[in-house]
Amino acid sequence: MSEQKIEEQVTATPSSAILDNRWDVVLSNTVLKTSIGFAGGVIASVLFFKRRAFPVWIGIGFGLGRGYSEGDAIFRSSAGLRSVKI
Amino acid sequence: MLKLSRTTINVTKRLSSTITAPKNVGSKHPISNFFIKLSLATGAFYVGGVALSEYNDQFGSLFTDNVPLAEEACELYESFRDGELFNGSANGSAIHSTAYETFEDLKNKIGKLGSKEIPSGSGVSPQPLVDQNELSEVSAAAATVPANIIPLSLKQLVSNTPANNEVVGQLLKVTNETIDVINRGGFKLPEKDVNELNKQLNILNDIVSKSNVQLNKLADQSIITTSNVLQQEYNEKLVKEQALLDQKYLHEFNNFKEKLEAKFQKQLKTELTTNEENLSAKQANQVALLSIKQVEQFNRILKEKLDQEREGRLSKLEQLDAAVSTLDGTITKLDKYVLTREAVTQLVTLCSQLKDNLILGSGGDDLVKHVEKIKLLASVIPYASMCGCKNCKKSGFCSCGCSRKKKLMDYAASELETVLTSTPDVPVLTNEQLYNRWNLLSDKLKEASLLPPNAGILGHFGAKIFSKLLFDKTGISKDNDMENVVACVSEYIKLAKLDLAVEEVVSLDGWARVLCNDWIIEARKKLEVQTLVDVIYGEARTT
Repeated sequence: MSEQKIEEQVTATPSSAILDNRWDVVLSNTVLKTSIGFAGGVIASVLFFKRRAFPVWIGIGFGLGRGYSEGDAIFRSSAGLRSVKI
Repeated sequence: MLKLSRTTINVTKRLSSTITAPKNVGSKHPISNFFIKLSLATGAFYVGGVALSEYNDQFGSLFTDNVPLAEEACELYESFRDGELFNGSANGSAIHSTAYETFEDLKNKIGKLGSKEIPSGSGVSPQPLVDQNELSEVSAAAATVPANIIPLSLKQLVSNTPANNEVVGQLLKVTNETIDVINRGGFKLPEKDVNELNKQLNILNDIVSKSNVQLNKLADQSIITTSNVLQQEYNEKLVKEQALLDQKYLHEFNNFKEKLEAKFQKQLKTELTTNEENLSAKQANQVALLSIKQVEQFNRILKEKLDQEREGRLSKLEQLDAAVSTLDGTITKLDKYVLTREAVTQLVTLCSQLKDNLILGSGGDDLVKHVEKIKLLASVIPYASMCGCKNCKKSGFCSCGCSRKKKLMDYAASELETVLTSTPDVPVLTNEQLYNRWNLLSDKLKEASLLPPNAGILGHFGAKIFSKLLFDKTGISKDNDMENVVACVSEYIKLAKLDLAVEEVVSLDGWARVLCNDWIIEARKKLEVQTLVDVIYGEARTT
């Protein structure tokens, strides 16, 4: 029953919102990866680099790069398209 | 006989003892001694063989079969024993006389020897060798033998009356067989004894005859008595069996009588019921026939009356009938026409309301209800063109059911219902709604028009930035750039030329076509509904 309800709640994405949805996914993914890189940099800085700043910037760079690459893949292929669950 | 043989044996012993004694004394030559011994041994052998043959038949047969002259010796002894040696020979009288003399001499000698005393010095008491009585008997027998000895021939027993008794019959048979055996034996007895025997046999025959007669009488009496008793028992049993049979017969007869009565009662009842039903049916038929006759008579009277009145008050009746028939058809046609007109009017009204709803916008449920009504009215409206059959030409309207065939209005109504119900998620939008949605899409279409093939994140970002720099266009032009297409479609929607607008949008490619897909579906549905309503409306107006 729960699966049926979930399937009923899933609505197809309107065709006019396909690009907007992709932008939403790319941006949220970039923010998430950047945040993870930032957190990793902070932890590395505290634990291994005596609170220096460069590990934080490196982590942010890694996150941004990862978000960019995944966003590029999302835009280039239909595999990256995701359905939006209400 | 035994006594005689014993005496004979004793005598021979004595004779042999007296004879052999001087021979033994006198034979001194070895050859003669040998022959003497041989003859003595041969004689002893034959005498012993004959003696044993008398006591043992098996040995006798063995002796006579294997030893030469043994059979003759046995016969000689037997003839000697039976006395035939002296009586039955060919020279009987001479031998008999010599034998008699010899026997008499022997007797005298024996008597002398018996009376001669033995000297006392020998130590043996003097005893006579043979008893005097025995000797007298032997002498008497020897004296009677030659008197009247005749062959033994006995008469057979003959019963004067037939031997009904089996025991008597067997007794006679056995006795006669015995007599036959005796007769065949060839015995010879003195005539006196033979006569005595025949006399005794006659007496026996009389006794047997008398006993046979008595037995027959007793048998007859017992048969009569037994037959009387059996007859009495048979009569009693017959009376009892007759009584039982009579009783059984009466019982079965009564049962059969009851069954037969019940069966015939049932059959009688059935027949009575059947007859009653038949009679009632017959009566009902007669009543019905009578009523029919009465009705016929009544009709005949009525017809006569009508014929009388036809020339009077009912003279215009046939004309009235024709006019009424014409009026009936006319009324039917009129009713049909009125019904059709009413349906057409309602259909036109419904189509107008539907068009207003399409223009002004309303819920999908209202449209579905309107379509259901349209279907109902379309089924009422007859087919515009007649089928051309005789009935339709004659009556002026289709009464043969050909008008019930599906027509364009029916197809359009069913198609309209299908369009509305197949995609309930897609609303039927108004022109204003379609125009607004197109305006919302126009910016995205401009952005999509700037996207390179297989654009990445930078391509999309660049297209988004550079789309802001494009200038808007208005009016209808035949250029194929995105700004012209957007402007052209907007103009068509404004002019309510939705079909042309959809045609322009459908011709797009790539991301622009993908972005416009939902708008195209909505616009197509609106177009289909509008077209179908126009078809129904046109059909209704032309009916």
